[in-house]
Amino acid sequence: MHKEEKNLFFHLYKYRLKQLLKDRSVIFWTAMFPIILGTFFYVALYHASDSQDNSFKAVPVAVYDSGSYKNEKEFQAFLKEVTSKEANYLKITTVSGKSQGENLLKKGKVEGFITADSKISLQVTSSDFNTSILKNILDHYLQTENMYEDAAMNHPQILADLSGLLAQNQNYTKNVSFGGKSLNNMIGYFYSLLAMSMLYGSIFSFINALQIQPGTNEIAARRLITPTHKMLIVLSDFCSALTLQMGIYLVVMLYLTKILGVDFGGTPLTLFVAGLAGNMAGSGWGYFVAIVIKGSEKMKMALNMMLTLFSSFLSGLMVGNMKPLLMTYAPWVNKINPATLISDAFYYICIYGNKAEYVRCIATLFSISAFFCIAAYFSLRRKTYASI
Amino acid sequence: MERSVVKIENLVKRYKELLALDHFNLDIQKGEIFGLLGPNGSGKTTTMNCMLALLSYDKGNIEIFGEKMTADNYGIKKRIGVVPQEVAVFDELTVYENIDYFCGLYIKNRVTRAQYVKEAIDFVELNDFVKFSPKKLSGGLKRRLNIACGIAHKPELILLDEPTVAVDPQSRNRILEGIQRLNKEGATIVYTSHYMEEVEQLCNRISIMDKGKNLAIGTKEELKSMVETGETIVVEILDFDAEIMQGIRKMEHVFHANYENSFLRVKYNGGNHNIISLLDFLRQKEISFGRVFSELPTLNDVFLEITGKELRDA
Repeated sequence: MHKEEKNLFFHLYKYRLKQLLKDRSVIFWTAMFPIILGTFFYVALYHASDSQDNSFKAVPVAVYDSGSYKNEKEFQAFLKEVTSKEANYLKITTVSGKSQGENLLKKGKVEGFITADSKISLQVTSSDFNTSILKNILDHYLQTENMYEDAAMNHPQILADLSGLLAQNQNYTKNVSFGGKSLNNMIGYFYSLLAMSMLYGSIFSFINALQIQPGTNEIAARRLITPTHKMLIVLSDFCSALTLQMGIYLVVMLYLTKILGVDFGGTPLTLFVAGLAGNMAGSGWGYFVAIVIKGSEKMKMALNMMLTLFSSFLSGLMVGNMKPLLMTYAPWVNKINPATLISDAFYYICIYGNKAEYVRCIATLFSISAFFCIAAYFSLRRKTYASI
Repeated sequence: MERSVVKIENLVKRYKELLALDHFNLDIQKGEIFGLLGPNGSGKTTTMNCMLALLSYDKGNIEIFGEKMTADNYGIKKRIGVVPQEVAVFDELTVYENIDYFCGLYIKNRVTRAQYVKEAIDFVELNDFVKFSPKKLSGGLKRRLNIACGIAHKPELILLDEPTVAVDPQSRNRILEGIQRLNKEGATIVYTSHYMEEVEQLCNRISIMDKGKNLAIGTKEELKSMVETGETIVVEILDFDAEIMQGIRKMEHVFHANYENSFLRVKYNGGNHNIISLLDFLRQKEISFGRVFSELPTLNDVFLEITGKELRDA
């Protein structure tokens, strides 16, 4: 770039930055609102999971040590297995009387009460996670018992094979380490909050785009009748908006991590790149809405805000399990929703350490930004005004 | 040497069914203050926007400084300054910053620009307000800022689109004086307005427009000589007779007379000492009268005769 062109670029860049910085309503939505909301999240949610012990505990159950139970050797062996150190699904309290067991159940000291009179049965007083485990365990035993009885009666030749198969008893889950990082269940809200803040930054680009279209703004007409190339004005505006958005991102991150003490994880570089990709997606979005979508300024601004909020909603900002729901019913939404991509990028790098997925999210965000910017550029270039 | 700074030939511009400019022609010479006078909706702003290549047009040719005007003819754009009808400045920047910003779009050299900005501030007399934001300025001061942003880079051609709308009389006079100074310094001015008094005061040549057409072009004297109306004499009479009116209408050089709201208005199409003849006639008829006024023809009279309507009512 020629020296004078460079000077002109910085002249425009400097004044645009100043102008955007002084727009209080926009600064509120992009900076103060995420800080305020983040504070509320921190106060209301961040330490809510501290008092909970999230590791799985053995389900307490009472077993009636009746005469019938003493005869059920296989069942006793089964119960021994599920209470072993390796499995640790149940914590058994043996009772000598039925009323004793029912009493323990009524008082809530056990989740279920097993009796083995004419048949093995389970008594519960509620329907929740623990009682579901109890039912599943007992169902598994009873189904296995039925299978053996049926095989013994009707297909004795496969009895030996059946024993072998059941003994294998595959475990279909495996533990995944978080690399030694602690996981706060509420961190997802903060990731979605950051995503929303970045997409709100689209307002800066929106304003920039309005002020380059004479059909929507008097200042635009004044800027376009000058001998300065339109694209130099657009580029300087874009850079100043992105600078401001990254500055706000840095301020919000510093507030959340250093003042509130939210543990994001990740490295400064990965967080920076995620912020850059997210903010560029927001910028492109703002340009696209302001230039390509037809309508009045107010209508376009309302649409911009609405789409930002909707994108944030779909990423789980307001309803925590929105992403899993979409994964089940409309997985393509998660793959293209900018707010989801931003929060996922944080998840993958900060929690799971999955660089490949992190790079996928970042690349998709940059692609989204490029798509919006290119579409806006061609639309702006082709525009002539029949009326202004 | 090409004397025409602006040449518009056969310009046609449509907004859907509405014909905004109807084979409009214009030829503005170097060093003129040229007035585009017409009521609201006559096509003045549309003409300006077409000249600046902000608007597409359906037919015709526009040349500025002898070259065809297009959106990417930066050579021409460098030599033009525009003061738009709406105040187009950044509320978030100060007076100084606004002028510096817009001047910077024309003048890349920092030192030259700083000098020009200072001169522009002096020119519009906003020295006491350089650190104010436009939000804190009155309407008149905002208009002056609007002008400063358009002329700071010392353009050769300045287009001013109704620069005195909603401005107090003191600021208006300052603005008009400023425009005359710019012209004396060598700028060609195109001035649009629906205020005939301003156009009469300021402009060397005037084009009267209506419905996208050029109705008449010339100096104010030439335009006034196009119409029948010469002098108009107004006499306050409380008690008036229809018979007297007949007599007045038969007097020499009288082409129109009417009596309304206790005032007799008599229009002449020539003659000298008409006031003496009229007052003598009234004395002979023993008609008592009060105040007497004599009005010379205005551009409104020109517009009225050509179109049948008042400039302000149109």
